[in-house]
Amino acid sequence: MRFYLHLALWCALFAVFLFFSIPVVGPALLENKIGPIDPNHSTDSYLSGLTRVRNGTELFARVVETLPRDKSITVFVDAGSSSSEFLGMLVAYLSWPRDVQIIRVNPSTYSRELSAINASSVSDVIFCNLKPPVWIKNKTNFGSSITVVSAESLTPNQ
Amino acid sequence: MTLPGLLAAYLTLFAAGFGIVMLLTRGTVLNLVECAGLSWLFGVGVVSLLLWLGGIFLSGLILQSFVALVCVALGIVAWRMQRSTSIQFSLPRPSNRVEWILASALAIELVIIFFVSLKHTLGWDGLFNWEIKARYAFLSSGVLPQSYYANPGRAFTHPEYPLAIPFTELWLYLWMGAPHQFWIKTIFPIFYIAGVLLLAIFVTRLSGKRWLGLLIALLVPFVPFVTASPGGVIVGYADIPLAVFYLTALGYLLCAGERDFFFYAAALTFIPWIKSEGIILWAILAGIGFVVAARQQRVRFFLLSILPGILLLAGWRIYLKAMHAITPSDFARPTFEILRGNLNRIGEICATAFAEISESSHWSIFWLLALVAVIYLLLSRNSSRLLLAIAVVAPVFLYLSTYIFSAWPSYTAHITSSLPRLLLHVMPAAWLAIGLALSLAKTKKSEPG
Repeated sequence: MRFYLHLALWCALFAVFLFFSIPVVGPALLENKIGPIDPNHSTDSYLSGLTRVRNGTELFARVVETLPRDKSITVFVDAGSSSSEFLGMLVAYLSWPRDVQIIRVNPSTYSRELSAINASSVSDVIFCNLKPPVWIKNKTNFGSSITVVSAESLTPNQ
Repeated sequence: MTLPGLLAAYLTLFAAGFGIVMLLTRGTVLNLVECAGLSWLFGVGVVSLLLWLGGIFLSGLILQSFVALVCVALGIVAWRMQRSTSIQFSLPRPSNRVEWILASALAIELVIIFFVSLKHTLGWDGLFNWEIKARYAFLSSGVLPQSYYANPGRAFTHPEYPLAIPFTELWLYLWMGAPHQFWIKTIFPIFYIAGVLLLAIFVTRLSGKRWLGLLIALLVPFVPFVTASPGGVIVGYADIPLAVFYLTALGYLLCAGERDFFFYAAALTFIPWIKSEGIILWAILAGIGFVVAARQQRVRFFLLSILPGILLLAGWRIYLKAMHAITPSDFARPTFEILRGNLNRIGEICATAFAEISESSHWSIFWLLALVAVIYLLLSRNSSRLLLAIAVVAPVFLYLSTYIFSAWPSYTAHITSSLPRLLLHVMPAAWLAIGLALSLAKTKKSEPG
């Protein structure tokens, strides 16, 4: 009797377990497909989704190559947007070996953080999913969400 | 160059692990599946350690050659030992129709998991906590430079996290000649496969029923968080590898033969080398190990077995200090004052944890199964099953208690973001508990796995 109760309990538990599992696991196994078998498989995929740039890892590496090596890069991200923060981390990831600083801003701190940038130690400021100030003329857009601005051009009178 | 390099990286890694397995084996029959699983785990541990320690003095091709030479030497030692000692390999075959069906289904399932895990990108942590270290080390002649550890702008990549996973990825990069985010994803399903096969072996040994071991192994990927969520086998995180090391150390501890104790000690050593949270799991298994050793009057042997882990932990701390690594800021330093001030968090922590474990899209009713299994084990009046119950329950309680010291602005957000992955560390051990609870037979330890 005890054995049959034991058996019934575990059969019921496993049945319920599979009843809830299969609708989640089944579709997850079928989604996506393998590839492309690419060295930058993950970063390209993220950059493509966030900036609409294909082959973004290599192209962004070329942008970083043009920046001065002796100064650091400051990355501005929107503290209220997880996609902006993720993009900021991606930019930091791809900016090696340069020193980076990620600054999370919100509307009340944005101007203050911008004015605190020291152009003698920072070469460029990269805005991720953030609009740079309107007075900046000299800027480089990388896809739809990344803007690279020289730290010197952040001063309004220039 | 990429695929031959990948193959060479895997061969050397397995050779090193195989050498360690043979050095730890004492004149017995060795299950080939078990040997392969352990070779992978110990190979990862040894190669990553050699790259880290070797990197203090060497770099570039010299570092790669040094590590490769040690791997080959360990492989040769293993081969010679196998020829000169009484160690024999066995490959247990299913003995009846049910076992054949379950074993075939498991083989198909493992192939599916392998391919499914290649379909996804590296997840957030997979990229920014683990692969990033491998890439930066590769771009810096195989050694992570001091500027990485000390750069506040890259604190989000957790420079203080240990290097087992990133340096395994680095080993693949060094052989392939370039960073390759696609091919390094292959290491994660291998961890999964090794873990599931070892789980099947442990359930079989401890219950005496091979069909039960195969059934439990077959059910693991039906936990949605394993196969369908960020944190599982598909995204390149360290949580599944850590869970596999925890299971391995625990499984051999419960088997409790002399050879098993060596394997326990080796797996235990590498637990804190996989992920920082491993120190909690290490402490729990060291505590359980002490109880087992005391019962067997092998306390001195036990003390020797935990020594490598202590040295590794201390060495890594000293190294981080020397590198001026950024101090992690997720948790406040535990003090009685903070404990007293944050005791009011306990209710919310329990409520958030309950919401997580009952989240069917993450776990189905897995934790209910685990709870029933723990009750079975507690009622069994068998000390080894009681220790297993402790090994399932204690990490969950300790993990939850750490949130009392969370320094996040919202500690509930901290729980929500990290607890599912922490629970994953205990998941294979909980499956072992379920397997043993399912078995009504008395414990048999010498059944062939």
